[in-house]
Amino acid sequence: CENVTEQVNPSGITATNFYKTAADADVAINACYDAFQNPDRYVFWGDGRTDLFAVTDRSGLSEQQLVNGDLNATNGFVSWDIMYNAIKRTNSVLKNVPNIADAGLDNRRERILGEAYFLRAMAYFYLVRTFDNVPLILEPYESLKQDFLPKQATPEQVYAQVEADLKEAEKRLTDRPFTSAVELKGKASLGAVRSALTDLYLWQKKYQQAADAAQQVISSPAGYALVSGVNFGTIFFNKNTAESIWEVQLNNTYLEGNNNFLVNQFLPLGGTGYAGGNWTLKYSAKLLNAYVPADVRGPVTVRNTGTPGAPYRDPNTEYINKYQGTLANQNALRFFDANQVIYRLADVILMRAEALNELGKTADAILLLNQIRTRAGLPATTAVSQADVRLAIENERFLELAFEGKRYFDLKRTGRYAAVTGKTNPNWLRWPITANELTLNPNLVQNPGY
Amino acid sequence: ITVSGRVTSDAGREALPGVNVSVEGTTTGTTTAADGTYRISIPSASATIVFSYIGYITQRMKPGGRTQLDVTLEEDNKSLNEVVVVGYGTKDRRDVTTAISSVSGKDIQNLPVASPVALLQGRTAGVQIVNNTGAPGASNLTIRVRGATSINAGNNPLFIVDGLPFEGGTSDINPNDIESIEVLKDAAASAIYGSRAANGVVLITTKRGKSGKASINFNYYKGIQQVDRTRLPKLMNSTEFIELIQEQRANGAGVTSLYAFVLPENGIIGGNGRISDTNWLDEVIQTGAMDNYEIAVQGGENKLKFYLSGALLNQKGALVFTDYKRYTGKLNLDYQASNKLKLGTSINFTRGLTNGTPENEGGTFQAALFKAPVNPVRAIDGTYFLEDISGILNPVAVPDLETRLKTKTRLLANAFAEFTILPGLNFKTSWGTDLVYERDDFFQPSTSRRGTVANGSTNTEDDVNWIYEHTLNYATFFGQHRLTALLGYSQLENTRSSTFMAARDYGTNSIETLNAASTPTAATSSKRTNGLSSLFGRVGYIYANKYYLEASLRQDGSSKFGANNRYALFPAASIGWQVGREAFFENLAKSINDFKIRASYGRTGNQGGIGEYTSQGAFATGQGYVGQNGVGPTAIANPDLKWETTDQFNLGADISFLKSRVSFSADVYLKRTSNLLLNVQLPSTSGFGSALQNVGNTENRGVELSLNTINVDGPALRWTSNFNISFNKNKIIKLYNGTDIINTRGGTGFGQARTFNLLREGQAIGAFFGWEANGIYATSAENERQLRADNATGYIFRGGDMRFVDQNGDNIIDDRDRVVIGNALPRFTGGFTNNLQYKNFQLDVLAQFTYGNDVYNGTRTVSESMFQFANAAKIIRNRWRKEGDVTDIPRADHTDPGGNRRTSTRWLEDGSYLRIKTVTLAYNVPSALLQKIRVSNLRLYATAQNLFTFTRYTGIDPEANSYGGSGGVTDLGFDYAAYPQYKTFLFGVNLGF
Repeated sequence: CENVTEQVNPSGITATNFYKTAADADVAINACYDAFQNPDRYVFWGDGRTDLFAVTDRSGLSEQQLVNGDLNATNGFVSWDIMYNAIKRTNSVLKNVPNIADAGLDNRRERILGEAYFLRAMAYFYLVRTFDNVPLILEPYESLKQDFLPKQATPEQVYAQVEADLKEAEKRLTDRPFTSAVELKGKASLGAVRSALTDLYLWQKKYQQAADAAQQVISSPAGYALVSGVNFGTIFFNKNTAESIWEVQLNNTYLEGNNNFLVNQFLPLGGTGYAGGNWTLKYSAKLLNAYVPADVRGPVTVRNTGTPGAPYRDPNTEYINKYQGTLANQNALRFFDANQVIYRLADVILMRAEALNELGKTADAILLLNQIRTRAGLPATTAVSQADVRLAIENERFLELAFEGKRYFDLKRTGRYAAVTGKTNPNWLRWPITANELTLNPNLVQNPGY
Repeated sequence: ITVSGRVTSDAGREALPGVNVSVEGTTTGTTTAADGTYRISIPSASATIVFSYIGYITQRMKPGGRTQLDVTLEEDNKSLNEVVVVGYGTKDRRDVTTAISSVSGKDIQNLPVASPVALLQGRTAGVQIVNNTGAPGASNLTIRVRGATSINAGNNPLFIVDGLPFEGGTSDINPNDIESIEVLKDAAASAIYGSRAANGVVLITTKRGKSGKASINFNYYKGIQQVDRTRLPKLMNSTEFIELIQEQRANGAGVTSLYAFVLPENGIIGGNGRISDTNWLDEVIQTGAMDNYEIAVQGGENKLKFYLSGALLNQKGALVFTDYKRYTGKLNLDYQASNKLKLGTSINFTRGLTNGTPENEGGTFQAALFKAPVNPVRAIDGTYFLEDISGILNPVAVPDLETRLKTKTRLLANAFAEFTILPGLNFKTSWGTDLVYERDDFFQPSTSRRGTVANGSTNTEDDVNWIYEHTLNYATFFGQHRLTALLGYSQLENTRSSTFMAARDYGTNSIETLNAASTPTAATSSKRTNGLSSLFGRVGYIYANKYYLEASLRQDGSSKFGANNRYALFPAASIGWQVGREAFFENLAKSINDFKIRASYGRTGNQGGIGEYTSQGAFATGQGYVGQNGVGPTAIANPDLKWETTDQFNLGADISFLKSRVSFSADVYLKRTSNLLLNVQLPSTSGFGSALQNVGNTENRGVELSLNTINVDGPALRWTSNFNISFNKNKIIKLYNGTDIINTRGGTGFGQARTFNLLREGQAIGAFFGWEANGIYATSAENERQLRADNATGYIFRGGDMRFVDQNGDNIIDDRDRVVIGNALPRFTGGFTNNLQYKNFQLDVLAQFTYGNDVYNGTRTVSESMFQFANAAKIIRNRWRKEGDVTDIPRADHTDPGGNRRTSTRWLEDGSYLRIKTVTLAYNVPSALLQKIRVSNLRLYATAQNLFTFTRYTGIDPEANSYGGSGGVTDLGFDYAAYPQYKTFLFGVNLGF
């Protein structure tokens, strides 16, 4: 008789039979990207509790808190699990891929490690900007005997790790590592790494390094280019335009079960034979009023269903338009599969402008700022002084990058959160640690004020 | 003078060892030897010799000069000689030293329930059965033998049908094919089943052929099934509903428009020019029906005995468009090949077809409870009206147009050979298989819900289970000693293969299979296998039919256990003492017919919660990125993973007196479970949700009492009763790091609040966790301490809000104010059966009760939350409306800022009930009449089920348990609009030739 007590899983992979071949490394790094495919969470971290959103008739308590800023620890948007899930997978790649003996991996081993470093850096960058005080975990959990109850690291430690990881990634990645547009935009490239470095250096007020890194992106051989003003909408409605640097890919045809729920949260209810969303958040009056009629970004970002509301169900419904997803089956079905742009050239240009302005090169900053304004169909800025240009850049980022997960981080970085949003509670500059996490790990300390 | 002789029993003239032989009025006495012989000295020829033996009528003889005196004792009560099925064998009831409950097949025949185990309810002490749902064909039962030991590993007992392990609900067995059901309750009885026996073992034995003339039995019954309408919530009509919604929106968002949620398209719904006033409950509830056809033939010639039956059960459910059909076939054969070799088979075939409807949360019955009455069932053009913008499905359209068909085909078969090697030494080998093929077909046309495209799926599960067992049995006696021994080896393997396919964009709504769809959306299959290899043995020793000793040991090797803990040992022992057979008991023995004391200890295991490959950890596929495959870690390996261990002590006594007209059994037990398989939640910083680990302890202790009486035993009238009651106290002793485990149930959607179930050291499993509500603030000023919701800047409770108790005194009502507010476990359960026979009439009444448990009335949370656009119960008309109103229903507020609908004592109710479960009245046509038409028996009967329920619970059914069957082991007592139970009235006829 066969030995019935020894069974091998015919449908699953275990630790003992994984990380053996080059193909294992390929699928392991893909899983790291997969962890980023729930972009609504980190877009809300980057845009919530600011002046971008307003509540709708359909907002629940979570959305109301996101709008008015008074978040509590049980709010569903607070949970950080998706980022630690990404960290788990990247840690696993970083530990195990170097040890794969398969020589077939040699032509891409470093690239894969570089991607893992980049993704881990992005995960910690989002976490530390949102929560300040987060545990820093750099080893994969592979045994139950490991310590599952980490303490929080200081923000400085985490920022240092983000920088270290990005530099490791910078060493290993090239501008054109892939052949298809989907991979070029959807996976980590040197341009993506340097965009993130620009972002980080701005946080650290290392303005020269920020300006330099941004310049490397702007002049990258990857050929990033602003799309024309009339095509501004294509950045969001099409996928992977020339302007895009790193864009989290979602596509219903692959049946991967991942959704960009921003589509659902933002779009109004569908009408007869036309699928819509669930309309739980809309734009603020402040944003609407900030767009002058000539601004091509206005109609792409903020919309009203008008009268009658067709094809949406209800008339005069204000909604955020950037994420539309794919309509299918005679428009009766909508997939929540809009890509999520994390970095695009306009963002990097404005970051460089900000860096230069802080370095006292205000004239150079104005040139870059006007590049963005011109594309939007606006006249050159009237700001001249360093202080005015600082505000002009801030305002341009508000208009250009609304609902792309930037505003809260921008205002926190510049220290203008309270002044701009009127939300004066200093504790709102970091989010609460989710309540359940505190229960599970007594070594965690809740952020003040929650 | 010395008298000698032999004592035999009247049945079979077998020698009776251990019979008390004494001289009346003296202390002289002896007992008979193993061959029934005795020798005793008497003082004079006129002395009286008394022969007494438990279970037999005591005889007094005067030898009157004879020196050789053979005596035949007459059995006193056949029930004591009743054979009880035990693990890997049978026993006389009198020799049982463990805790076993039996139910005879006769007691559960012709009752309108598909699942035989459901029929144990109220009939067996220590076995709690909860019928979680009234859905037709459901084998969704919660069965607890002596409480719940486990948190994650499952608490349902192990089922063995004709020696084969049997999973997945006993509705695959026709109750009328059952000869007996035994429940092995203490560990000494069940430990022979080792690592699967911690929750008790249920042995089901089916009928086999008997020697003699073949008999043919036809059986037919037909009945109707009705939901008790007096227990349904009374819902608001359209006028009341609109008024409520306007008020709660004005109070909440400050808007007075009804918006399109309530009145789409200019206030005219469905284009029929008026607002409808639909009573959705009336629309979804129907009068169900049940009919059953059956034929059974049994008989035996010299060597061959057979039992053959076939049956069809047809059931129409209490909710529209639900039904169940079951075909069963049975063939049991026994062949005496020679006087040393016996062969046999047991074959059971079932095919079940269930048309279901979405149940519980998000189900059609719940939708009927909260769907706005302003919506019509159908639009003016006759199609179903789907434009309810609040997103609530049309609970008539969904079950009507959508297909949810479950098909289950099952073959359970085994063959055995028994060979007598030497007298007393038998070898038995048994080979069995259980083949289960299940298929779920789903189809949703584009016309059943708003804004969807046609989509469908097919899920198939193919289970192949095989087992073989070899046992060696030995029985012998010498002098006063009786010895039995069992040695066995068994191996089994279960393989489950599943395939799931789904697609959408059908070209037509009239073809439901996937070939008509253009876009595949899922195609997956998987396979998993587990195996168990076991060695077991048992020895029994009986001295003088008074002192009993039994011990067993099993070693299980399971593929589910971690590599470091592959093999487990499960020992057990029991002792018994027939006090009634002691000489000192002799005088009492005149009135007391039997008195036995039992004690046992045993260790059993539970491996139910361990997935096939859990201990090995996992990297899962399905984490792809833009069309490229992705694989990442999803479970951490745990090579130390092992079974849950339950140690159980049992002390019992059986006594019968008044010529066995009264018999009473009592058992007390203590069950201690350690190494709980706890799905320990890991902090999400690990990237893993949880890991299965052996940590934690639970304890169950309890008392079971059972009383059987023959109240009247006349020639015309016979009345017998059984009363049983069981007390169980459950306690969680230890959890991982002492950390509470809080399970949440339910969403935050329409009307539902999230509910919490707490596992905490020192508490019982099934504790409800939430806020204590203490009435309603009549005025805002009554909130003297200015209590706030959620945090220091939160909403201040005002007039009309629930007055939640600020347990920690920080003036904030938040998670820290949650306390244990109730428990779903009853303090006691039981049943009371009465059988009356008057001439040819027979009346059987079973009452069943539960006391001391709480039920979370989720049905009320649906209809009384005043949240979003849900319809409400009429009682909501008494809501608080203005400062100073004194009422027990809070104000209506769309946004519910104070969380009035949160999990609180507001929704918790006493779930105790007493139910007249079954009443059967039968008439047996006198045989004198029947002989003329060559009919051997003709029985006409009428049965009512769930006739009355006495309870303070205000929901539909205090027994409803929405999550009981879904593996939510600890989520007891939640009634979230479960499929309602119903009353059944049926009429049947039984005809035998």
